[in-house]
Amino acid sequence: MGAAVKRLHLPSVLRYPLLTRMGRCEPRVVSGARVRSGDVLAAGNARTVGLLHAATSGVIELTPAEVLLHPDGLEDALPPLAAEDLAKRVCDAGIVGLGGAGYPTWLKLQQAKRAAVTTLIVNAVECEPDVSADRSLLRGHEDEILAGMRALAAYLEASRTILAPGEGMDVDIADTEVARVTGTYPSGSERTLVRRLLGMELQDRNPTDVGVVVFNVATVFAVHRAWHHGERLVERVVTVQDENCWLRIGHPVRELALPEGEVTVGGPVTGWLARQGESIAKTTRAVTVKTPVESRPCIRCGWCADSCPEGLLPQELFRHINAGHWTGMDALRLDDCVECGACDLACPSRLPLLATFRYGKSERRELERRARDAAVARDRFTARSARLERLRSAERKEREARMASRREWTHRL
Amino acid sequence: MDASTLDTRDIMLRTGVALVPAFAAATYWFGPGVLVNLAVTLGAGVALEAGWVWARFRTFDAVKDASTPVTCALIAIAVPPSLHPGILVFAAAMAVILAKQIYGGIGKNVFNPAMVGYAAALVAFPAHFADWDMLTGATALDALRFREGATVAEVWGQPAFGLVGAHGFEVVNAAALAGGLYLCAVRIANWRMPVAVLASLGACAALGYDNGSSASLGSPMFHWFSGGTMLAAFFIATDPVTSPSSVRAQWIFGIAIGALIYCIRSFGAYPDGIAFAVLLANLAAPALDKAMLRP
Repeated sequence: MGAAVKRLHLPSVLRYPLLTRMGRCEPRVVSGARVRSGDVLAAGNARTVGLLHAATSGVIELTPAEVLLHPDGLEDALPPLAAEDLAKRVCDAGIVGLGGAGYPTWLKLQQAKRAAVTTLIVNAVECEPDVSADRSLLRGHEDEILAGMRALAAYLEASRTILAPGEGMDVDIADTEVARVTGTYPSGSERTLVRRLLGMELQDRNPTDVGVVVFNVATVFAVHRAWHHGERLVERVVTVQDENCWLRIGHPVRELALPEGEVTVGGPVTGWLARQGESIAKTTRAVTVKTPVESRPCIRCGWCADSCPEGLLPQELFRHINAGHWTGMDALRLDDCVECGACDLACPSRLPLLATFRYGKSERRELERRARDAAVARDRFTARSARLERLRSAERKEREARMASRREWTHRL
Repeated sequence: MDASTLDTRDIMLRTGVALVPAFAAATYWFGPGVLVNLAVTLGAGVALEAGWVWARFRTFDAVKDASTPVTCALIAIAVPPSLHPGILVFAAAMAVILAKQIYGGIGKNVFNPAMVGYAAALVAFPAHFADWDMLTGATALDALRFREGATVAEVWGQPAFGLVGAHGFEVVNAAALAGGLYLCAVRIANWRMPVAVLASLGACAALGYDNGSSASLGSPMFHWFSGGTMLAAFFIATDPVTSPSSVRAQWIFGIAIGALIYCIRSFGAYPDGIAFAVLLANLAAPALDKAMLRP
C-alpha cells in the first residue's frame, strides 16, 4: 500500500446498471449508438442520482436493466464543460459524494450555500480499515486537492477550511489547517468527524445546520477536475484487494484480477457480496476478496457492545433477530445501527452481525409494510361493509315505503 | 477479516496460559497430584465432549474452541490433589455434558460448567474432599471456624496458616491473582467482576473482624488469600457466558458472589463456598440482565 495509483487496461465492456443504490435512472442513448467519452448515458432524478457519463468512446448496447458500453479504444472525448456556476458545473459533471453515501454534491453545495456555512471540512479519514483509496489520492495529488478545496471554499465563502487526514498520513500543505484524526474504527463518518474536530454533537441535525459542510477528499478532487479542467466524473480511485487503482465507473468487477474467494464490493466490513455482472459505481470505494470464516456461538463477551459507536447491544439484537423476536425490538434501537461493521471486527466468534442487522432492518420494514397494508385493507373492508349496509337499509326503507303505498292503494280499491 | 481481533479459541488459550502460574504454585505446594488431576480431567472432559458432539452433529467443530480444557483445568485446580480418578471423570462429565452440552453448547449454558462439575463432585463424594485435612492438618478455613473460643492469633500458630492466608493457598492465590491481572490487562476478563467480588468479600470480612478476638471471623487479607478466592474472582466470575452483560448488573453479580462466599465460609457447612456462591449468582444473571440491560 501507499504505492502510486495504478491504471488498468480498458475492460472489454463497461456496465452501467440503471437501478443504482441511490435510485433509478432512464437511458438517454439507444442500442447501436456511438458515444464519445463524456456523453450522457443515463439520467435519474437530479436530487438523488444525477447524470451518468460514458467513461470512454464506443458503441452502446441497451438491455432492460443496464447500459453496456463496448469501447472502441479511440478515446474520443466531448469538449470540456463550460458552466460558469460551480454548483451547475458539479451537477453537469455528475459528481456525487464519493465517500460512500452518493449524495449529489451540487445539492449539498446548494444547501451549504443557503445555510451560509462557515467551515469546510475535507474528509480524508478512511471510512473503513484496509481501504486506502482516500489516502493514496491525498498522497499523490495534494496540489489538485488544495485547488479543489479553494474552489469550494471560495464558492461557499467559508472562512475556515480543515483538511482531516487519517492515521499515518503526513500532510504538510501551506496555508491549510490540517487536523489529523486518529483512533479506532469507526472515526471516518461525517458525524464522528464533526464531533471530533469541532466538538459539536449533531444528534438529529445535519452538519449544515451548525454551519459546517463535509466533503470527501475524492469528491473534492472530482470537483477540482470539473472546475479547472471541465471533466466529468468518469473514474475514481478504488482499493482493489490491497492496491489502489484508477478505475472507470462501469468497470466490471469480473475483469479485475482477483484471487479466489468471496468478492465483496464497497469495503471489507460494510460491503456486500458482488452480484453477477457487478461493476464499479461512483460510490465504490473498494473491492475485496474475503476468505470465508466459520462462526462460533456467541459467548456474550460484550466486545461488540464496547465497539459500537452508537452504544447499541449487538449481541442482544443478534439474538432477537435470529429468534424472529420482533416485538420488544424497539428498546434495542435496531434502526439506530449505522452499519459500520465495527461489531463484526470485534466479535471473537466471528458472527455475521452486520449482515444480520441488515436482514433484520429489511425484515422489519417488510413487517411494518404488511401491517400497514393490512390496516388499509381492514379500513377499506369496514368502509365497504358500512356502505353496503347503508345501501341495503336505504333499499329496505324504500321497499317498505313502496309496500305501504301499495297496501294503501289496495285498501282504497 | 481483521486478523488482529482475538477469536474464541485465542481467548480460551490465553485463559489457559493465565492459569499456568496458579498450577505451578499449586504443584509446588501440594505436589504432583495437582498435575495428575489436570491430566485426568483434561483427558476425560475432552473425550466426553468429543464423543457427545460427534454423536449429535457428526463433526468435531464444537470442540475446537478450546473452552473445555479451560473448564477441566479449573476443576483440576479446585479439587484436592490426587483425587480419585473416578470422581474426576464424574466431575468432568457433569461440567461438560450436564452443564454445557445439554444446554446446547458453549454460549448457551446458564451455569459455569467448572463450578457445576466441582459442586456435583463435592456433594456426591464429600468424604473424598475431606482429604484436604490429610494434607494440611486442617484447612485454615475450617480451623478458623471450629476453634472453640481461641483468638485468631492463637489459631494462627497451627500449620494450616501461612503468612497472611491459608498455608500454601496464599501462594496459589497470589499466582492466580497474577494470571488474572494479565487477563484483565489484555481485556479478556472484565475487571469489574474481580473488583466487585474482592471488594465485597473484603467488606464483609472487615465487618466480621475485630482485630482477632475469639469471636472474630478472619481478616479481609485472610479471606482474599485463602481457598479459591482469586481463581473465583478472576477466572470464574468473569466467565462472560454465565455473567450479566449490563455494567450495573455486573457490579451486583460480583458483590453477590463476594458476600455469598463470605457467608458460606463463615456460617455454612462446606469449607469453601465458592462453587455455590457462583452458581447462585449465575442463576440470577439472566434476571439481572433482563432488568438492567439497555442500549
